[in-house]
Amino acid sequence: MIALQQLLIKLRFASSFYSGGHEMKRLISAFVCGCLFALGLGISQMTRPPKVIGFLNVGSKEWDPSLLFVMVSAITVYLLGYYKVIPSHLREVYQNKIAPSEAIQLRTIVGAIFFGLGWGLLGLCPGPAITDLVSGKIEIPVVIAAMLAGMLPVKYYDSSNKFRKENAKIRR
Amino acid sequence: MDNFTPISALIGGILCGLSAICFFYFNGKTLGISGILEGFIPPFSPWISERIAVIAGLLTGGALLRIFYPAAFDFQVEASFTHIIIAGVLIGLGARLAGGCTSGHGLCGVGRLSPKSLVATVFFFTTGMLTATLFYLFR
Repeated sequence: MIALQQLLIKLRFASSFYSGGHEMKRLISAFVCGCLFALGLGISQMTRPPKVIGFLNVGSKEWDPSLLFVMVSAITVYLLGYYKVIPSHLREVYQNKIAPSEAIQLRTIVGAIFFGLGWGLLGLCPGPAITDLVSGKIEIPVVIAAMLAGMLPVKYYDSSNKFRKENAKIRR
Repeated sequence: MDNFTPISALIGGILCGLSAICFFYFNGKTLGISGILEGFIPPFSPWISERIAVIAGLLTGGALLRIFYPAAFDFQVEASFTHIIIAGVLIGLGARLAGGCTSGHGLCGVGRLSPKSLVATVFFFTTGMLTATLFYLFR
C-alpha cells in the first residue's frame, strides 16, 4: 500500500520536473537506447555465457579476448562522446548531482568482489540476462529472479536510510 | 584463440557505447542496467516509466536478435539451478552494494573516468577472472 502511494507520488513529481514534450522524448530515447544496447550485446555475443567465460577463464586453452575488445571499444566511444560531444555544462550538472555518491566506500569494493564472484560463476550480467529472456531458456528468468533477490536487502537498507534522513530533516 | 571474434566484438562494443552515451545525452543518466532493475523493487525508484522503456527496449532488441541473429542465444546452461541461483544473488547483491554493474560502472563510469567506477571495474574483472579460472580449473 505504501509502495503504491510512493509510486504515485514519484510519478507526479516526475511529470512536474519536465514538460510533457520532454517526457515522450525521454521514453522514446530510453526505448531506442535499450534496443541498441541489446543489439550490441547480441552481435558481440555477450549474451552467451560461454563467450564471457571464454575471456574470464584465463586458464583456458581457448582463451578468447573478445569481451575485452567489446569493453574497450564501448568505453572508447563513451569516453569520446562524454568529453568531446556532450556539452560541458551537462557534464557539470550531472557531476554535481551525483557527487555525494561518488565516494569510494568499503561497500563499493565488497560489492564489486561479490559481483565478480557471481559473474565468474555465471558468465552473465544484468543487461545480457534481460536480453536473453527472449531466448526462451528456462534458466534465464530464474537467474533474473535471483539477481532481484540479491538486490532486495541492499534496496531495503538504502531506502530505509534515505527515509530516515529525510524524516530527520522534516522534524528539525 | 579459435573463438576470437574481433570484428563483431568491435561492432557490438561500438553499439553499446553509442547507446549508452545517447542515453546520457537524452535522459541525463548513466545506462546502468542493475540500477534500472533495482527501481522495480519497492519502494519504487523515480522514473519508473523510463525504466520500463529501457527494459522494453532490451527485450525488443532481443526479439530482433532472435529473428536476425539467433546465434546470439546459441548456448546451453549446464550448471545446476543451485549454482545459477547463488551466482545470480551474488551479482544482484554485489552490483547494488557497489552502485553499479559492468554497464553502469564498467562502461559509463570508466567512460566518464570516474575513480569509483575505475576501482569497481578493476575489482569486477580481477575477481571475475579469478573465480572463473579457479572454478574451471578444479571442476
